[in-house]
Amino acid sequence: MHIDVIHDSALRHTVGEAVYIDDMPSSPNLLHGALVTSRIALGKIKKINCRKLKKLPFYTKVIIAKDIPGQNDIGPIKAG
Amino acid sequence: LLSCSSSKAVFVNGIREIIKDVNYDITLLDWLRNNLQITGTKEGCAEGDCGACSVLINEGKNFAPKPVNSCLLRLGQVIGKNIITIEGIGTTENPHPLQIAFSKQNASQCGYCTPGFIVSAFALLNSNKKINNKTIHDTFSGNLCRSTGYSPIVRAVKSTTKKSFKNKYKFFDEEIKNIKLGNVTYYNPKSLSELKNLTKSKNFKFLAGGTDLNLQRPVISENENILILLNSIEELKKIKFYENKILLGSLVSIENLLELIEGKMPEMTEVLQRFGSPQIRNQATIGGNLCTSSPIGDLAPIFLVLNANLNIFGKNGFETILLKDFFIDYRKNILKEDQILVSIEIPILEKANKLFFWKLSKRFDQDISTISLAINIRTQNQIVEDLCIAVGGVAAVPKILEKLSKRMIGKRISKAIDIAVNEVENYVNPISDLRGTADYRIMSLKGLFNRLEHCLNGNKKNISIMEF
Repeated sequence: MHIDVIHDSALRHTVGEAVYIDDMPSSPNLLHGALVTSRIALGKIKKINCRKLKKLPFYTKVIIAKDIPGQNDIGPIKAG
Repeated sequence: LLSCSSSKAVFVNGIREIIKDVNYDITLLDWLRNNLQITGTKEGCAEGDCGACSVLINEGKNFAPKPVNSCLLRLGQVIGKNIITIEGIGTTENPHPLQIAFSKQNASQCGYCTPGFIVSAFALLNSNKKINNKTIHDTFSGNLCRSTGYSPIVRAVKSTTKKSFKNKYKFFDEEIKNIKLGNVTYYNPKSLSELKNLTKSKNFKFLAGGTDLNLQRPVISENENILILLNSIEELKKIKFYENKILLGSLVSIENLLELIEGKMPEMTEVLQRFGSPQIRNQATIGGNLCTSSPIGDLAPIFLVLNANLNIFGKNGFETILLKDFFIDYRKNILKEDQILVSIEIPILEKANKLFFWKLSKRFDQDISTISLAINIRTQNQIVEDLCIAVGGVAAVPKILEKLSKRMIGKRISKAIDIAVNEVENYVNPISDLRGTADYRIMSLKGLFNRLEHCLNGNKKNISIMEF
């Protein structure tokens, strides 16, 4: 108790050797994903229409809530 | 190896790194990370605010590393220069004392900003500045941390002794050359006559420090294929003190200006210290700040009230004009396409006069002024005998309020301030934007006039915003 503990990554942070996602070289043909978010801050989603997205060049897949298997939950303590 | 020596290179941590296969407007940051794949230097905001991309640049043969934002530097601007990145300061096997101190003091949490902080602190330790709260805070005005907080970072720097580093790198001294990246050629003229020849071509743009221009993506379209860098023209870096004036070359950096005026023009010191950050000030130039002709023009108001004049050079030779005739409209000045600003001559303040220069912004450091006000005033027996007022951020250009100044001359101080407070809105035309509404700008300008009265009556030289 009451002893300062240097955290695991501290030295790697300070010398720039800690590797963040953006620091990893991207492999050829790496699949990129992007979030498409609502432009309305408060509202009800009535339907999601992906027709236009599917026409984009290099389109691979659109993933929406119903595509998530099992319980769709990222809340660390409470479901949410 | 010999065959390589003629190609263009940048010296990174003592290694000659040849440039190949790059886009014409690649930044130093992207080149380090994507081409050299040294990724300790991070991209945070990509516009010179956060400092995660800080690297050190060493110009000249002495070890005097200066922090700059690598996201705001085009690779074409640093050809032949010596760069030190976080990787060059230490490694996990052989960390620099600063890096050990940061670890021990818990000065990193997510760690993303940490390399930038180390780079800034390293520059401070290797400068001739004393290490105290003020210099540490100034040093970090261009580094943002959003997790662990600044106190452990400051403690870490304080716990590191100054003499702890010896330069381990060889510095290269290679002639700075022209380079073609894609279709675009970066020219490095060494003299004004060389520059004159270059302006005969079409589709060129001048680039000084680039802290403003490089925010535009792209800075030039690829068919505008010439960038003329002004940084190698020694004549533009002249500094001369005359009995009655100071001459400053247009390519003198803001940091350089800050060092020059410390002790000589205390009225300017605070605003200059709050101009960008060390990273920005090392790169940004006096000429760039005036020629970008922003309505705020952080330097313009004080130079206006001192009645500075400008020496201009172009294909028809030299001419001199008054600064007050320089700005013509929002981001427009009188320079023709082939003309550059060579130097600014600033008359020394007359002994009986007092100078005031204030900047209001949302953040103390590293922020654009919402408004600024410069005053050059002489009073005797409570009467305003001479006055020149200049403002930034309340019109399309930084400007002198000549009519208002004239209305106030000859009046008692209290009466003159009443006139200013009641009438100033007739002489300015502020807009509302994210930095403040038009009403806020007028209200705060009135507030600054009240501050002026306070200073004149209290016989104070100046009031720092830190005292409020």
